[in-house]
Amino acid sequence: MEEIELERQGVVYASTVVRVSSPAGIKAPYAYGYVDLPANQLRVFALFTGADPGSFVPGRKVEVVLEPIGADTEGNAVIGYKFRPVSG
Amino acid sequence: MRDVYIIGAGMTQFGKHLERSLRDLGREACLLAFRDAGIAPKEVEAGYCGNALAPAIQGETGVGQNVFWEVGISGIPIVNVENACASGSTALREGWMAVAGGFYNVVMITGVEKAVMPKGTMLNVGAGELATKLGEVFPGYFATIAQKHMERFGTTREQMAQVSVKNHIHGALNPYAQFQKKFTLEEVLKSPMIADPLTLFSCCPNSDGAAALILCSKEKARKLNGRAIRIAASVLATGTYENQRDITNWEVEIRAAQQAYKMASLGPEDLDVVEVHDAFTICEILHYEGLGLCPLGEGGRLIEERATELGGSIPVNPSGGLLSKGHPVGASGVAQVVEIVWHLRGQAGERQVEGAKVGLADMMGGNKEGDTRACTVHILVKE
Repeated sequence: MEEIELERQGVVYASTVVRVSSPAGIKAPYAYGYVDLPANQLRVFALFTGADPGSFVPGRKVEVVLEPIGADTEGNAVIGYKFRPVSG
Repeated sequence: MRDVYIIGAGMTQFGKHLERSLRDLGREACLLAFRDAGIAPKEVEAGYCGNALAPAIQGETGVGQNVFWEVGISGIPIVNVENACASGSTALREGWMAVAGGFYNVVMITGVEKAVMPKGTMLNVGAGELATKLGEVFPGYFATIAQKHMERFGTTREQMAQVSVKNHIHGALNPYAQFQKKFTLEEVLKSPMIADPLTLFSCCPNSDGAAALILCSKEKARKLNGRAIRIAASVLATGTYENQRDITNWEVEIRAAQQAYKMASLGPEDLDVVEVHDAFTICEILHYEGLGLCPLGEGGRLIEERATELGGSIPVNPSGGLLSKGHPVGASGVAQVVEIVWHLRGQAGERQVEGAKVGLADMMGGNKEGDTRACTVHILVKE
């Protein structure tokens, strides 16, 4: 096993807006999908943030950001990765 | 390898059975299969039970032993099979292999599930997966597939909704279906959005129910009722989880279907009736293509042309499919085959596909890495 560093920017491959709250505790509506990281030839599952949920159409450029994604059973924030639109 | 025949088939109505237990539902299905086959429980040499969610929902394990004991079966080998939505169909394949391989002459298959959830909640399964922890839900995965299919092939929301309209027309003819109610295209499209572009009536319900089959060798079938249906192919395949694959088709399904056609020495053009895993409307369109009922990308056109309705050139999901018949997860794969058996015997009532001689049942189970964990294909032939 070898650890590699992934590029921080990618392109939305596919997306959806979920209109019902998830069992993982995320309030609707929320957007997720798959982001392609071309330099790594890798596709990752990702929640989207920082823009209208319906705006993460395939082809949109996005970048990774660390954010709370929920809380554990003891109320501690759980930090995860999300993708937001590339700024500028 | 020996030929294997289905000599008994039975199922409960699918739906909400809030007052009934897993073993109660399983017992009903097994007793119906025994009555149909005209054999006694003591003739069964091994039992296979498909169930996916009892450990998570009811906190119950060993469902197979519980159900089979309800019909007086103990002592023999009993196997519990979990393969997500393909649990029941994988149990069928295990039983088929055991008879085909000469280990037993008579085996029983059952699939049973109680998956009705409180209103407004979704099944929380796959909790070990990162994507699930992050918020992935079943409808969302299929919604991304729908988005890409629309983008690549021009498939429309109306074509997808037509799958639900068709399957509810069929389900309205099936006394075993959870919903016996038709919907208009408009009603499907305007039902609440779950995960864009999939609306509520584009998603199958959570259901309770059970189904059962009895399989036997050719010699045993000869001595029985003369209505035996041959299993011409039984295939199980697993996804490759290819990271950057095109999600507008399931390679695993194309591969499983090709293996099944080869095993049966038949092709998609030989099929008279098909049952597929329409957990969401877009799935049925992908299955048309994966099974070769039409070329890749033309599934939307096939539903629009009404080819897959009863009376069309290749009826798909005459039972109503998961969308209308319901989806008690571990039972669904067995129930599909029960339905095909009924059509091949001419016992499917108002929804009968006239003169059906060859049928196919296609089931997919579980998502992993944007791919499918399990895919089963069974081809049945009336001789």
